[in-house]
Amino acid sequence: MSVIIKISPKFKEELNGRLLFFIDRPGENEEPMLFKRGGFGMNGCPVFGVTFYGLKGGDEINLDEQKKHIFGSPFPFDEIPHEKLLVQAFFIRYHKYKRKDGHEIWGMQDFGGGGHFANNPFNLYSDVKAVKYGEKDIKLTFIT
Amino acid sequence: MIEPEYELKDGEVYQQGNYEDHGLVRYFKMKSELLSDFWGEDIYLGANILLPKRYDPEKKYPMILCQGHFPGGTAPFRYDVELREREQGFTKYWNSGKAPQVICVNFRDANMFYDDSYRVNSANLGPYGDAYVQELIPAIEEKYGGLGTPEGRILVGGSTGGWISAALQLFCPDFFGGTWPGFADSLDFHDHQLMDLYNDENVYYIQHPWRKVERPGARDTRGNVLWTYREENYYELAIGGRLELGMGQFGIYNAVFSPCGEDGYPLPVYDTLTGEIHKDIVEYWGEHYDLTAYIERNHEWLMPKIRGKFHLRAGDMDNFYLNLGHYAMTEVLEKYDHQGYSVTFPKVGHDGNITIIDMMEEMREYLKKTVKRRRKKTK
Repeated sequence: MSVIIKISPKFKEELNGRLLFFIDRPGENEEPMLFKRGGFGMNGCPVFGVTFYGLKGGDEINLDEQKKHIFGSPFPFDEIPHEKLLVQAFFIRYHKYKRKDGHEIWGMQDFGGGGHFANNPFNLYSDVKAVKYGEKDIKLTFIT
Repeated sequence: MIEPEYELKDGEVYQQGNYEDHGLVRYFKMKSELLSDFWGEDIYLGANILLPKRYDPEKKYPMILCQGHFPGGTAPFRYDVELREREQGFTKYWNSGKAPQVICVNFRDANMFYDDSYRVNSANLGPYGDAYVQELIPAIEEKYGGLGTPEGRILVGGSTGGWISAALQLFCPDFFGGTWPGFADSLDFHDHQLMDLYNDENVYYIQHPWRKVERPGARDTRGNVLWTYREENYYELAIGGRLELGMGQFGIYNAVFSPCGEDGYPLPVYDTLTGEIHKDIVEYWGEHYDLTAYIERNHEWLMPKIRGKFHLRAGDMDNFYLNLGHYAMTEVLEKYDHQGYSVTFPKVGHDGNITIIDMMEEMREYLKKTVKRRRKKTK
């Protein structure tokens, strides 16, 4: 079983940033962003993140191949329970700041989202999928 | 993809949002030359302005400057929203015309590290403090009719905003005329939540002879631990990969308080994986941003400027243990006879234990004295 995240070929710009994979238990809430259903941060659902630079439209990411780079909270990626779960992928897009002091650093550029990735325009998210985790490959897609 | 909720009009940018004026609420945004110079690209600052009921554009008004967290389009003190208990009745009170005739302002300065800049100069965020007092506040005063004197600039805020309200009054004592910091973030780095950064070795656990105990990060008002400090940090690490990109509380502390590393990112004050404290970075934090240490070091010239101006409030059961920093600062302020007030409340958590209306009335009385004193002086 693998978790595969595909980037729509329609993306023409290079994508740099943090890929987040969220899981939660099934519930009644229909909010399109899984991690907004139960609250953010410590009150929210488990999250597993890995950073990518230079992704392109059409690329496919197999999270299992990235295992050693994924950091999970509140438990590691390979401890995700094999049960009925809702899953969703999210991508925080980074921008390269070229500061006057000569440093170049990556970070999320504000587009009116108030400093929160979940509200910042142009970040990407996939549909929420209901799965029996561990049974079949999970395929999620970022669309424009 | 998260689509913007509106199309930009000519000359608009998305940064810090765009909102439509309504009723007594105005939205202001400007490019900061100081910050744009630091970041190498245009950086904007925004403000949400609540005008007094009997606003007259020809008159000058004191301003209440509300600190802490990106407000979106929400007006100061959640005027017209009022979902939380302590704000209830504020809109009616404000609209009645019986409230003090002052201009209230809150601020939009989200950045790559957090939803708030902490409004001080920083090696990693740039000159937000200078931009605030040299660019943004004067521009708002000019446009909406602020008094333009220290007595006309009152600071207030809770939590993050509590720290900012205290820091701005201390770092710019000739610019601001009084402050109401509530349940403020670490006012003393001996009490950085539950950590004594100067003397502890590790933020994640407390070492006993035969046991290691995970350090709590939050509690309910009965004392039950809600989560540990490690858990909170690991959440930010999952979001950001490195703490400083986690857009959370602990990343922003490093961004605001730490020196810049060779790779351009903030140097962490502790190893995010192990919790081991980096004492050289603590020293830098202490020299630049430990507000209690700052008072202690500078009390001879500072105290005459801030006497009577500090109004500190916190709950004795602050959910993030911020009451400890409150006690530490209070001790030093009282040692130097600060003549303001500092109060805490039993069984109260992360809250100042006062309604907005009561606080506004307190400020009314304060302004009556300070603005009158100023007018007498200038006559």
